[in-house]
Amino acid sequence: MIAALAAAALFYLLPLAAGASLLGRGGRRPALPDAWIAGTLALAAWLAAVNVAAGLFGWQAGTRLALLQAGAAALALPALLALARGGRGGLAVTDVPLTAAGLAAAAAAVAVWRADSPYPALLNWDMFEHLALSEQMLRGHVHLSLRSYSDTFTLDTYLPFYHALLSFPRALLAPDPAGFAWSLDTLHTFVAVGVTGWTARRVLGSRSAAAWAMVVAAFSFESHVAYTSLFHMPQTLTAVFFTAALGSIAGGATGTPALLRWAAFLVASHFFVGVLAGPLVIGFGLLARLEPARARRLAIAASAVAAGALAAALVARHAGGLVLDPFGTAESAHFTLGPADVWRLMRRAHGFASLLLLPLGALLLWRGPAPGPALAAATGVALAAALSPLPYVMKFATLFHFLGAMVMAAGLRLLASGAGIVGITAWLAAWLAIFGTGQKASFKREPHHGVHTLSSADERAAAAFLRERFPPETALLVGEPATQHILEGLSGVNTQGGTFASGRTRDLVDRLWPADAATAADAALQVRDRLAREAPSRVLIAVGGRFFAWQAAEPRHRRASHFNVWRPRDMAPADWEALAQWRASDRLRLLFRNDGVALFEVLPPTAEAPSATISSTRSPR
Amino acid sequence: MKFAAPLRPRSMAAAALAVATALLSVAGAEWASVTQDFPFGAFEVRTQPFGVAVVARQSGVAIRVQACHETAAREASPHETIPVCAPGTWPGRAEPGAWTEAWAAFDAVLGRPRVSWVAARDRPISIVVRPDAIALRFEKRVTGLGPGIAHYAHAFALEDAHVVHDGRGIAYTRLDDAALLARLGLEADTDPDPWRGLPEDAAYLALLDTRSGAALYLLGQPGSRLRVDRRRNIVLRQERLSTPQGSPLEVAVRLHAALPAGLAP
Repeated sequence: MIAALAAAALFYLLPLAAGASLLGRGGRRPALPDAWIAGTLALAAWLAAVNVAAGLFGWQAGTRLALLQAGAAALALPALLALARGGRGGLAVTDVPLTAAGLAAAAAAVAVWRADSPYPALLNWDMFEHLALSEQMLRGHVHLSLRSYSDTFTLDTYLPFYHALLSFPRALLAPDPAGFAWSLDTLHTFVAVGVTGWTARRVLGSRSAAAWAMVVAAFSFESHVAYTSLFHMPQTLTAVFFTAALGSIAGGATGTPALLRWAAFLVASHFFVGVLAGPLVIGFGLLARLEPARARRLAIAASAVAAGALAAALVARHAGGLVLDPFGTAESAHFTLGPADVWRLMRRAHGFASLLLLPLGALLLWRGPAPGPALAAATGVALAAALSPLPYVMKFATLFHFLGAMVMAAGLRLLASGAGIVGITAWLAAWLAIFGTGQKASFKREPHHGVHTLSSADERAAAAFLRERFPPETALLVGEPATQHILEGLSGVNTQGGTFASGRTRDLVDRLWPADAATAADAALQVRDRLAREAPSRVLIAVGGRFFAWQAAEPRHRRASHFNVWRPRDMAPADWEALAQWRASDRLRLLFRNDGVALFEVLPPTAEAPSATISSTRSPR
Repeated sequence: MKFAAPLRPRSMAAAALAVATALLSVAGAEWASVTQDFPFGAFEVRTQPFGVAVVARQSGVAIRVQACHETAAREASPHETIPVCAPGTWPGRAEPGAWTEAWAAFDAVLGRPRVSWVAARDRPISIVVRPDAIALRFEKRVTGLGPGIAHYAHAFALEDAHVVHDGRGIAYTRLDDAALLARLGLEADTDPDPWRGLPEDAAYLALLDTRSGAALYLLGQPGSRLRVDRRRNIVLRQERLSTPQGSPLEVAVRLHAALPAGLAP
């Protein structure tokens, strides 16, 4: 756990330190976004250079790993040493009470969220594919396209900076993948809350408002698509960067080159979120330079445009003129929400507080000095975008999370702080209750042995077995999509598409059961990974509780990428009994089993059945 | 920057306003998610998007599920729980209202899509059974019950079902998907009213895979061996009864879980 937490901390520290080292020469102290950009680009460039050179010169994995470690150390150490000395580049805490308030709010949110989801129980589904891509980077792959690393990625929605940053802590500390991911999620809450406070202090110019912004940021959880405060993902990291950029602008960094630089990085970090975040940063920066009266006029214009676009989208949707499935997948249609759906989710995140505090806060900001009007306008634009009836627009709620927290904080400062300890206590209790109920409604309806998680201990044990026994590039794992997704992410063993398995793979997996061993083996051997350079030398079949549940699902569900057996399932004794023919067959060899997962290796038709080498974490039934 | 000052003075009115607005805000929270953890008496009410489930606290057995308003079964996304609902076709007596709706499949809510029904003569009560809620055990090998039972045993987590009879084929299906039926090696149930002829005051446990639409129900004879799972506070008694066709008895399970007043059929 300590290695996992340390690795998660390095995810943030390495790029910041590398950026501070590169830009802080000559006594300059770079803006926070610039330090992050420089560090990220430097680390990604070093990883790319090492991987390209390793490919050209045939370096061994050990050499490549050593070079990655050395590069990270060389880039980050100057600033880390300066930090240790408390000198330039140090992250000095200048406001201890405000920092303590932020830490307390984040810690309370984490305590509630993790009470029934302890280390290393993951609730972040996307993290498995990010781990898989990072694994590919650590194996020497390098490319700008996500799809070139793994067919788990079916769209190029950002450049792989995020995965480069994931790779360095893994190269340095080799943390347990699930523990690393859990620690990243946990640390993300602290970072998101801290950045909110840092920015709110600058934008709102008030310590109590900044404290309220951190409370709202910690205790409001957008539980659909956005996941801003609790999940570590490219989109949420992009939103944190966006917020830090606003804070830097409010702190005086409003030069046009900086605005363009940050906007470009936002777009590169997440094409979808960045398309809105980039212009918002530029707009916020330009408005912040203006006189309040002029800023208000422009903000009104921006708000009117956003409102008009939203209205047009709603009308077009109502008239049936909007195509809601642009990628031709059921998934994008599945993730299209209307205003009523968004409001239901907003209620879950804020109760009725947003109805009260957003207008109140926006009004106060509107009438206040710069950059208040700019913040109000940006919040309105982000909210309009999130409300529009287009696929995935709830991703814009990642931006609204931070903007809305600051606007609501302005209202809370008036309402709650103005009423003294009674008001503060009442509102703190209200936010805690809103968060406690909202987070439970979203993810925590079906515990697995008392723990809310997407991957069970049995699945993690199976992944550890795979990681230990199988050179990753030699094997292909075949299973139902959720199991593929989890085991590929945690073990590094390749699958075809993970949870986004192709239709052909789904058909083949469908044929695995009910079927005799020979039929299942033949079906598994037909699964092909489109990115594989050569045929796998070993093909494995994973079965378990999820597998049988998936097989029992309706055919249309088995074909749908948005359908999954999300929660872990134990393998019932009858499941195990039903596999008797497989176990006795000379086409399948049982390698591993526990209560959740059994792993079979496919043997060629002519091979003699070798004696089974069974590894089990529990006694066989 | 100069910012709007807090209300002054810190009067009682300001405090009252703050408390009132806080209460108003928190009223909009997702309280339904919490009620499921706060039992009252032996039962708790779980307000779910599909309706209301009354659940025996210790057993986890829901004894009442009100109407579900979604007609198409669909699975929840990983990060957002959407009720999985399927229209019930069981057993043809569904009436509008609380008790007789035959709704099913709450994978996202209560566990695997395995739903049991306790049926009074004309008022079937839907029972949602979590996979860990009922411990039954097949003493005989499932293979002795035919391929249909074997499949069902595993589809319904009936691996622990306790069967003391001769285990002749007792699988009934209500399956619209003929292809899936064939795949499972099951016969279609042609009986339009499998409950016909049963004692009026009996409550029988049946099992229904609502995702596939297939159903299995077990019938038995009074006085058969009892199996009481006291650990989960479920009292299940086997009873020997006539099958709808009057054929020799199969295994039945009668649910004797104490129903609170007003909830019993």
